[in-house]
Amino acid sequence: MSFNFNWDTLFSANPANPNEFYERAKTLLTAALNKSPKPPIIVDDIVVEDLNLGTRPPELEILEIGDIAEDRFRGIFKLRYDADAFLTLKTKVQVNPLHTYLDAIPDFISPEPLAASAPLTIPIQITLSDFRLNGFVILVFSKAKGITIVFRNDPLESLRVSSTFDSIAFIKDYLQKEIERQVRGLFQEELPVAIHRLSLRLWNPEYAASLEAEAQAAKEATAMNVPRSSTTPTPSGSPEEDITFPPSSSDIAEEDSSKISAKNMARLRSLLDSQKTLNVFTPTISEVIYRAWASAGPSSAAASEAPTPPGLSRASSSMNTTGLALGSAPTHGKKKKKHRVINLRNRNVDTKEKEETVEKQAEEERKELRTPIPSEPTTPAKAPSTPETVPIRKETPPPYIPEQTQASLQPVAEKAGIVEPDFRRSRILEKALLAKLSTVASELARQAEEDALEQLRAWGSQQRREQSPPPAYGA
Amino acid sequence: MTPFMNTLQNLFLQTTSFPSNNTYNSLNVSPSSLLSFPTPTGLIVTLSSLATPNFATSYVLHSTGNLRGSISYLYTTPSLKIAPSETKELRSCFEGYQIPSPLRNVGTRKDWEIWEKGERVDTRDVLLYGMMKIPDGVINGLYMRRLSPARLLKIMAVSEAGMRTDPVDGNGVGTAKKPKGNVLSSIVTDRGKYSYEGLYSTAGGLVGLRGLWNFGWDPNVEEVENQTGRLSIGGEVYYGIFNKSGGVSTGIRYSTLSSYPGPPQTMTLTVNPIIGHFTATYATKATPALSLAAQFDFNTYSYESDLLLGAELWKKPTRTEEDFSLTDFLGETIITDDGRGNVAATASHRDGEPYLGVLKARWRQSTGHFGILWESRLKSLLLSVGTTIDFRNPDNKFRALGLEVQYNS
Repeated sequence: MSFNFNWDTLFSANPANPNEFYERAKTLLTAALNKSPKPPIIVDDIVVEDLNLGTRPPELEILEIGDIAEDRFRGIFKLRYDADAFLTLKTKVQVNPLHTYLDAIPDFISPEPLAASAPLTIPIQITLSDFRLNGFVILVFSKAKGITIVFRNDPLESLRVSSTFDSIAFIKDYLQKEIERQVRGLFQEELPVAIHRLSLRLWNPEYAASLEAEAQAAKEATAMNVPRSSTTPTPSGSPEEDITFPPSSSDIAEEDSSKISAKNMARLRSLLDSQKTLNVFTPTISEVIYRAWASAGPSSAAASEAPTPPGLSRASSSMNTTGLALGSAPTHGKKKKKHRVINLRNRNVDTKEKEETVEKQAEEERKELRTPIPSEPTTPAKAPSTPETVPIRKETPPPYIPEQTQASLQPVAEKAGIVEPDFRRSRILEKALLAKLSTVASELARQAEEDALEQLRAWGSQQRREQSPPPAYGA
Repeated sequence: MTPFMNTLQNLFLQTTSFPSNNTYNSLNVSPSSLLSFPTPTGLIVTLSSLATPNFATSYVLHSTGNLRGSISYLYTTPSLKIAPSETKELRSCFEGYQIPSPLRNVGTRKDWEIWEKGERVDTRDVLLYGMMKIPDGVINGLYMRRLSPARLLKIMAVSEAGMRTDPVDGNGVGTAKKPKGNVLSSIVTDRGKYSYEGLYSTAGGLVGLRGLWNFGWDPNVEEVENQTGRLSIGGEVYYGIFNKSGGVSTGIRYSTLSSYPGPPQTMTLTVNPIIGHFTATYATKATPALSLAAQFDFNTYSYESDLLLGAELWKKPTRTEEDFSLTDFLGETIITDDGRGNVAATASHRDGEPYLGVLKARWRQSTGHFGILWESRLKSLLLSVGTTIDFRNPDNKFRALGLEVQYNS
């Protein structure tokens, strides 16, 4: 399970002022950077000169949802980022080492140099780029307490620092080391605090009110100074519009709630009620892994009758977990595109070797599949009745037509003429699928996690704008 | 105001005939006393006492919202004499323009030898000083020893409570805990004509060497003629062994001596060739009561410049009419008659005139800070009131406002 970020639209939420997000982010970052005491070598404020979040979004994958309700959420995510964002900082540094040395030692033992400690400040520009992040994020959301984000490990894998002093090796090394250390601290200490504050402002009216009062007072105090109405936070304006930060809220904003079908909502409602009233009836929501089942293992689930009724074609409720998390359920037509998860042809290939090929083939197949889908409207109707279908991938088999099978089917269908080509094809297809699925099911279960990771990356770059969610985690 | 313990340390050097201003780092002591005097912050109360000629104590309370303080003790082998704060000469308490003292004839080691019944009994003069800051628990220690007529050993140490990572460690990512303490030791050799100093600090492994050369006559070789001015040249080199960094500077000074007929003046030029920094200063004692100084800084790499101006004005007591008439008629001597036949004559030496106090002001162009300080005596208390005003910051103009009170017996 993972997220699909509308990366481009996220930063231009306000069409009137497309740079509004960056301006806000710059001021926030500048304030954050200058808050903590700076080392004596930095003699001026650190100013964020340029900020660009790049063209590719980070990849966020749900590993576990511990608690979910209307007003609270707890989950573990996996965050990966490897894209072209960059950040340019400007400040002034003291280049006389003796000057900074004197700042660091007590006055009593100062050697009291006469002029050797004369100051020389030099403006410096530092560009941070090629961020590579990889970490586990624990997200706890509660309406009363806001969002708490904790990185369970050090998310920073690597980072490139280039500065005015790139030609001098030891300064470059020093900066690289020092900035990496600072960024690590930023991710583990300052970012969680910043997000927490932001979320409080969003959901806690009391906190927001106190902030507003502060802002009002500050505004009144400096009313004469700058008439920048566009960038200054409007105290009376709705904070939801201002803040495009949390991905979930932005997604909700992007896709209006009408896309969530009424059926789903009713089912969710009854699920919620059943927990409150100790009702034994539990509505079936497809594409959701319940914890109770998870321990049973997918292979056993595959062997036995799937607990869900055969109404698999009720696809409007597929990928409900996505719906829960993001508040959006994909539409039927779009969903077909995403059935490219399993590469059946490769079942004989070594698992290790497969990982790379699967990724490429997944992309190829996806491209191929876009065209054949309209010509096979009946296929999904038949295929789901197979009892062997792996529960978590219920939607997987129907639209998937392996290249091989498709090729072999083509002449048969032609020979049979125009009469019921779809029917014939679907029957043959069903057989082929049954045979293949039964043999591969167990293997799939093992590989699913690795595949999901690899494909995630491919989809992240290729399918940014598509609605189709990636395969479920932990099958 | 010079802290009491610093006054005693200078007194120790004076009594052991070791001039403190013939070194490179005191090259521009006169201009800097006018240009960068500190202004007190908060309330500082110092109670000191030279209990015996060899032992002194000092207690300092410093309040800037939170209360801090320090206790210090000092021991010297030579007997020191210092006037109580009621009668102390104000000129000696408040630093100002200093006319360089004449170069001394150092003499030889033999001069120090004292023989008694065929054995040497002479000892070396020693000063021991310790201060503990409360509540920080920081301890400062100083050991000074006159090794020979030309040589002085100084060891300064700071010990801080707790452990820390070495702040001057160049690699930054230090996890190795070290005790918070550092020692600076130096040996100063002053041969009159020239002086040099070698120092080593454990903080960053700093090694330093600095020297000063005075042009003109050598007081050890021949009698100094009536010299009106002195040209001195010097330099310093530092190298941090642990952080592999260093610093260099050279300087030149021309200063008029006491025999100069005009107003005393000092001009210096210091150059830091690594940083490309030039500093030129000029200080003059225009009248016995008024001193002026200016400093111009320029950096050849960054083209940054700075201008500092400073002045000090000594206030004389307003004299009564009787005093005026007496002085006018009798010139250098004031004769008072109490009407019963006792006639007392007091010499009114021009410079040693009793002053009421001194007003100091300084201004720095780059920061726009304006510092002003009034130092005087109230009964037996030495007072120092001052502030630093930042005209460029309208919200917080008074950066540091303070009152310092010193009493010693």
